[in-house]
Amino acid sequence: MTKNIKEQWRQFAAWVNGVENDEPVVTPEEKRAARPHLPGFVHRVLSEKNELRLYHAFSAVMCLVFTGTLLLTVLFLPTFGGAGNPTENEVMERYVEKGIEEVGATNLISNIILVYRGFDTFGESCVLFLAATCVMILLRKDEKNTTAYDLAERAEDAEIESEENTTVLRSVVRMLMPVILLFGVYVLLNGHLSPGGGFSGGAILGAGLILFENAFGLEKVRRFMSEHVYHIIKVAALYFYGFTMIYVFFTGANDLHSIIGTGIPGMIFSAGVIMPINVAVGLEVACTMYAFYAFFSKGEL
Amino acid sequence: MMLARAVVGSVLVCLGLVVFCISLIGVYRFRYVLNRMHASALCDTLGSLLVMLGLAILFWSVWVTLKLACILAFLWLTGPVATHRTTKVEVLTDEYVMEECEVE
Repeated sequence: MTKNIKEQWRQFAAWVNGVENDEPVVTPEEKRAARPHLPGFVHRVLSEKNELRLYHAFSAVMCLVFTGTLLLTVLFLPTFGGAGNPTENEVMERYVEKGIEEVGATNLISNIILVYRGFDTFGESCVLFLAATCVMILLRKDEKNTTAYDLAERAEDAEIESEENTTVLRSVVRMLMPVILLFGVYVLLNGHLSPGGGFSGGAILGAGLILFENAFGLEKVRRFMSEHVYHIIKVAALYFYGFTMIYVFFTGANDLHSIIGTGIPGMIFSAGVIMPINVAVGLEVACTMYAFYAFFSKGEL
Repeated sequence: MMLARAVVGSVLVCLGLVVFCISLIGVYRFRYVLNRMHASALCDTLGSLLVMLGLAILFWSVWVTLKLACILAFLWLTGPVATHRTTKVEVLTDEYVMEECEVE
């Protein structure tokens, strides 16, 4: 009875995997026999059967050691929510209780990542900038490193693209593009009031740009987003972010009066530096995403 | 009324999940890309329609319904286009496409 069910289950699994009826079902034994063996001396010492046993023993021991180590670590963890835990300090309380009062954004997460931990997020933006720069150095195609083969390939791509009938994609993108970009801007500008912010809004904007490039081609994107504009946006956003953070850190650390107020929490123009920084981060992320796509697919912006 | 709504909504969501399961099996079952695409396009349209409809009935509020309608419109606009583009790439790049799908 049980064997019958097993057999049926295996047949069903094979059917789901797309094995046709006339194809032989590969049994686990056959699979095992077909797999490559250990090279060299192991072969001489061990018979085939013992080699298989060694494999199994090794995998079992590895599993047990890893599981045991992890479980042992769990044993020594502090109890959840205990009073003496290292996470149970005044920082978290302060974020929750004084966050709105001190920084002014109703979205506490953006309070934390952009102001309380501003150094960290600034570093992340620099990483993004660096990554895009490296991709540019590696993948950029200009007159110095373009061979005749590249040119021929590009011409072929352009020919295929010009022959392609993209009416469906174009009409849908024409309809969706404003909505996507508007949503991206909304997420950017509402980062301090609702879930969202620089990174997510920038990702939406970048995805919209990539979609637009897919439908209408690089030439149309170049009308508003050439390499020149890209450089200006990227460097300006990063500089703006950096100088704003320097000002905030300087006044904050020296207990000086800052000209940036917190405003009324919940209003769109509130929370001091958070909204402009969100916009800067968003532009940075959008540019990086689009540049990655453009450099990987075409080698140029 | 409450009970009827809950029952109808849950049944619709479950039907949507059944459609998703069928298309999932189809994606694994079929061998050729275009057949698989056909199976996966099913859950984009019918599955999401059923799930959204069920959720709208479960929540029974104007704003939730509007939001769900927006999501559905987005999915219905983008899903078929994505399927269409992927299919196009397959047709353009596969040399043996005529042998794979015999058109009579």
